[in-house]
Amino acid sequence: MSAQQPPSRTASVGPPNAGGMNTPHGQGPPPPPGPPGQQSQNLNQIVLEYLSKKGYSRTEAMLRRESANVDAEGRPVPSRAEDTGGRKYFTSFDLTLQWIDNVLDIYKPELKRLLWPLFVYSFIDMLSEHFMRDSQEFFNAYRNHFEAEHENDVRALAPMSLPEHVQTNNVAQLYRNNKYRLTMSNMAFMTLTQFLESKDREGGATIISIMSNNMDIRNVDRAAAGSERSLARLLGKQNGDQDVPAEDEGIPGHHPGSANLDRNAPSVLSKLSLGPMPMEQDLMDDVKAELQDHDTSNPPAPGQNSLVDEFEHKIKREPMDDAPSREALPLPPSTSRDVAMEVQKIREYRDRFHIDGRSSGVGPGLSVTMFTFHNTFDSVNCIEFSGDNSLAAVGTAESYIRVWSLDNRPLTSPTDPADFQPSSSRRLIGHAGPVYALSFAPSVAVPEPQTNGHANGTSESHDSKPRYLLSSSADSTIRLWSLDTWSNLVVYKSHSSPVWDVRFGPFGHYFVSCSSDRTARLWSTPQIAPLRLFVGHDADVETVAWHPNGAYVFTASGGADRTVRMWNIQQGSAVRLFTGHTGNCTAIACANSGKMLASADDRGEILLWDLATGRLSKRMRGHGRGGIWSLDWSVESTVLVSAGADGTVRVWDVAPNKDAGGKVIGEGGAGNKVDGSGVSGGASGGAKGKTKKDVVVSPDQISAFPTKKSPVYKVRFTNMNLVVAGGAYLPS
Amino acid sequence: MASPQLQNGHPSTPPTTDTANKPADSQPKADPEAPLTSQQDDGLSKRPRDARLIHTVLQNLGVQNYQERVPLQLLDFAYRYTSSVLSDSLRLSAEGYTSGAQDKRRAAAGDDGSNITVTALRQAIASRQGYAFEAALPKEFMLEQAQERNRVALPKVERGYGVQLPEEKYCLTGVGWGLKEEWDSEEEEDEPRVNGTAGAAPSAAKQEDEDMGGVDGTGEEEGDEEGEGKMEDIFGEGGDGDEAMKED
Repeated sequence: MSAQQPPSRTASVGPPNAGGMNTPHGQGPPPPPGPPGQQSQNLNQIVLEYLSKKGYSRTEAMLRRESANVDAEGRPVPSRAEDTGGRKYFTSFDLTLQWIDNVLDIYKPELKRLLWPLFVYSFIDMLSEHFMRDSQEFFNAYRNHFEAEHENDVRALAPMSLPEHVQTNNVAQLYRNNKYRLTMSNMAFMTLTQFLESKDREGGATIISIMSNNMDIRNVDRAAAGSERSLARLLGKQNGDQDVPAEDEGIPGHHPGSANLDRNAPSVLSKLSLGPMPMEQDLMDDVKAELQDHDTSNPPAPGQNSLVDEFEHKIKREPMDDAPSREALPLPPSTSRDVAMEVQKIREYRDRFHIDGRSSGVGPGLSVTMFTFHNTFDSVNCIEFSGDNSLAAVGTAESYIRVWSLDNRPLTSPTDPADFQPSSSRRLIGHAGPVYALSFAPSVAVPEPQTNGHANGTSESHDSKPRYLLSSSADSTIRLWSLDTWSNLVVYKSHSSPVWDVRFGPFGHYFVSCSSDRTARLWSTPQIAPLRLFVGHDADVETVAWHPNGAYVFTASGGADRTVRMWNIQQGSAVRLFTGHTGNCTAIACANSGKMLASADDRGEILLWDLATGRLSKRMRGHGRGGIWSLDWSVESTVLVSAGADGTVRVWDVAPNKDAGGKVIGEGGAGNKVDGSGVSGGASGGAKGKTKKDVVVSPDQISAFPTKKSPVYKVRFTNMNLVVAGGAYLPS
Repeated sequence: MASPQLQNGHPSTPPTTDTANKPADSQPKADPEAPLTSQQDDGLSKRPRDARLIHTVLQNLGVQNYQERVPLQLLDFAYRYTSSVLSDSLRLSAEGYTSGAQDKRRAAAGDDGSNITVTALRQAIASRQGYAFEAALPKEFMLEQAQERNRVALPKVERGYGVQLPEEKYCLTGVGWGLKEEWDSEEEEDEPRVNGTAGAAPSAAKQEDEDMGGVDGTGEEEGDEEGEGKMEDIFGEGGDGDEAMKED
């Protein structure tokens, strides 16, 4: 035996050694079968025959096993997927894809979420491991699975073809430098690990290494995770196309709602003060006195509350501990104008058209006043209405702003020359680039006083008109305009890129802007430098909104980021972070109650967030593609209106869906209605003939108001719950 | 509001890839069969060559539908980009910044007979890269800045009227001094008043200073509240400033 062993050993060990260098070419064209291969094969055969003849069965078995991995030419057959170079990602990804397709249905929705990060990380790994051709093939083979949900990311990754591109591509860097967080229920995760371990050699190991290197997988107990992961919910999901990311899934890697991005952060949310800003004592006294005067001079109609009662009722809230402190947020002391505005607000509040949501069975019969601009040649970038509904301003791509008075009153200025004929519109010229956003200083229409309560009543009604306008532009400046002299007062420069949005705070004085430089900034009118920088977004900050108490702002971004963040003004820190949008965010609005936030994206989805708990309240669909450009809440925060590129104004019920169980299943079935059939008058003009087929309207929609080829840029509720919308007629 | 953002925002991003190969593509390939007119052009095939090029580039990037003005915008951008890069490099090579590599030369468009070197071209492109295509400063740097800035408490608000404005030197409310004719013509029509404004303005401003802490721009608001007589004076003054500024 000792005489036979040396040849057998060389025969079996030799080829793997030789083949070791061949490994990368495993799939290449076969080299011409060399004589040594033939020889070794024959030699093996001879030795095996000899061994079996002699009865050395154990040695024979050993030899057979050792030579099993060698093919006819003596080169090793790669048995482990890792040894196949770039192909290993194909095999492993394909394996997982197949398995998830066949897995038990209740795990499918959860496991499907795994595919996108696997796809991205496989692709990036392939590129950085210099498998350039394989990576292209891989990307093109599987990209169609993700086009629907990750359209932008797929497009951003598509041009990458060299390892250097991984370094320069924004999106790739984002994925590389962060771990993709994914939450799974325990059972799904166990099934997955079992599967991967069993397929260890066929690619499971590759998947496991991607998961451990690049992903942060959290396990939750299905029972503990509440209704969101309940079985009923999952079952309801599978027949709808409700394939949406979870709230904590993705790159930021945060606990749902929490803005703390530390990986080991506790899942406790910082406390928010969402109550209304307490009124100054002086102002409150003045307003009360004023209201008393009003009440005595024209007593409330039967069934109507007196204004003082209404005021007390509105001001008084049981727990005042959730109100922000006035000291933290310095505001200018109130003036007689503020008193007049507050008084008028109370009157409007009492006399408003009440909207009580959908609880009574039918939706409220809202009216929308639509202002359409003609002959704009698509140069309108934004439309804004003043708080007293006397002015409408339009920012154009031609760098100027045009302001109209809605009641055709001539817009005069004390600086007009004597022979000047003031018309009902004015141009404000100053910006050196397209104007992207406008914001009027807060104002309330105070009617001509019919009481004798005031000596100089006329000057006061005059006083309540908006006097200032902010505009932001591609020239990266923000300008403050006086609406008395129709001239530019101040230029605020600090942003380094186009400024996408600017908003006056609810009390004036402060305003917030956001820009393509990925920051949002807080300003006050007397300071030419920003007071706060809000940094954290990984892409352009597209839009901003204020919390009604003025202590928080919200920003939303597009591009690769797609998050909505909430910032504390006092510290300039992020207090909430919401993920879940699949498109670029285009509009946000906070409810007047201060408890809810609505955000909308350019795929036509509206998401409602509960601020205190930091959780998603619900998703609503119905708008066509192209973006929802404006959102607003009714006075009672029971109804949301939205308007956008598809030329419709839609009204939504914001009450959260009742407990997940039955309701969601109903949603998947008959509850869904297709636009145009379920809504009376919802059959819209030809403008969105294409979208009509494929847009599914969620049952939360109360009504829809179509226009004729007029994208709606702005929609807002007045203090009396009338909806005002503005759009531009764009014949194709 | 949002679509214009996107429409106008996009040209700033796609052209980076676009124009990166665009000047390279279109200039060497001047042969007429390059434009690939075989792409379906909806029958509108009598477009200029560059427009069709843009069409193919867009299609290659997966853009199937676009507005008519998109190619125009991109063309405009490409033209401005190439022309400014060329003129920059012309300047650079004329001033002798790039005397190093004289071997490769390309004739300039025949402006003044000087040549553009490859190094000058590279330098011109690199110098634009900094501000034209780098959208944002690094996040870490901005976070540092933000931390520093956000540590400062919000400034106290002083008592005032209306919207408070920054110091006068930062406002556009002042008088434009550069326009002689303006003053002359006004002097003719109403001489004493001009003297009045010139002389009285400081005193009036000083009086307001006491009221509102040196914020001159709010003089306009105060005018509203104090009475009609004075308002004209103040607005007359402001008006000159505005007109002057527009002419500026």
